[in-house]
Amino acid sequence: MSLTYVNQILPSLFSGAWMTIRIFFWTLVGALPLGVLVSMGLRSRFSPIRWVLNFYVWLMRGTPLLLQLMFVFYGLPDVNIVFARYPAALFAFILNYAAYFAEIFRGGFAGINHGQYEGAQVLGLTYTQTLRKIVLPQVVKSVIPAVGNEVINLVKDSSLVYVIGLGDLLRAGNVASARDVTLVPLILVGIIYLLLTLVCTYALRGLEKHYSYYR
Amino acid sequence: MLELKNINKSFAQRRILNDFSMVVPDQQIVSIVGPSGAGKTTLLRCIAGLERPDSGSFLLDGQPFDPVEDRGSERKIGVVFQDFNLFPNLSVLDNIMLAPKMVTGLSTKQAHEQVESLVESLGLAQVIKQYPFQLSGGQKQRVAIARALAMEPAILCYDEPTSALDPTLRDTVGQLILDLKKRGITQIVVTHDQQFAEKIADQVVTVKPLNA
Repeated sequence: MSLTYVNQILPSLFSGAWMTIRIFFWTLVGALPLGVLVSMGLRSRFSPIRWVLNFYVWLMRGTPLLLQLMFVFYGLPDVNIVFARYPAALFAFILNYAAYFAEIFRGGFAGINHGQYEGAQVLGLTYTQTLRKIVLPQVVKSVIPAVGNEVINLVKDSSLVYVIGLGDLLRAGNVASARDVTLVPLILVGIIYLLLTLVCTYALRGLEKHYSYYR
Repeated sequence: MLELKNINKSFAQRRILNDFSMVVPDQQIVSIVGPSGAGKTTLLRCIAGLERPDSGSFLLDGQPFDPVEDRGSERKIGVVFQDFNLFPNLSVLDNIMLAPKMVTGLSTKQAHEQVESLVESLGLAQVIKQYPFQLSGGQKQRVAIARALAMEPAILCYDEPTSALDPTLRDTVGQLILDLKKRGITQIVVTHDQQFAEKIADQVVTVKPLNA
């Protein structure tokens, strides 16, 4: 593994990694709040909302993300919904990850003792105030480990975007590897993925620590 | 003065409260005793507005009053739950100040001023920065009392105040309830402990399980 060669291919790997990071970041920004909303809808008293959302979660978790990506990019144009590659990837990733997050948050909400709601109610707090000040902070704390798992998964799942022709980290490595007939780019790709997940792991640990001030 | 008139409540065909009536005079302690399943807690939950009775009426100082609709800063009934239901994510001070801030709309500074003497008198000054998990059972209970009193309720209700505590703390709680009475607070104490009830209460109301 000559250093000159490594230096030669690193720029293209970094630009692929930048795509990976963008997909990762914007998916989280979109899917986390959407997941919270869906999880609340899953607990709605209005049953049609629950049916629709349960169907959505089933669809998203029940089919491969790869298939969903292809469907969004190649299938939706048939009904005149045309996405460019990058927005198509974000759209599919956000919808898919929001479904997983929704299930995790649903569990988090279910874990909050009913007494917390009653304690707030007898003090005169509204339902919204109760959610914001009491329930959500506790849900967030309780779901960090499970959400963290999905976050780590997302780093690697982002490599699926190759199927709609986006140039991410893995694809950059693949291209270099095929062109130069060497495994070196793929080893570097593996190292970059490991570094990315390492950063995530530390960030998640930090978040867990931040919330460890109470039990 | 709180009056309950002909309160009825059933769960799934099982009648829990049958034409229950009672009067809670101002600045007195009324104890509600009875065995498990007699409907003590259901009664308390109706008074607290956590359950809606099937029929019957409530009067507060002669005015009709609906505990379920009793909302916001005019909230009249305070509750100390059996397991306190403190908010674990908030410090002791924030537990106590939450409702004055969110419901009454006080600023943090105003809320702090308002609850300061309460915190002091309940012996909580040393622990205001701590979180519920760091407190003893007795401290948690006093935080729950302070949190309820911060909203200046007309009546303070307790559900089984002795049950979550070390038996040696029983008398301490009794003394605390009597101290609050001296400060003019009207209290309803639900307990299965007849002795405890007789020791602290001006009036003991006994509820019996109804034969279905």
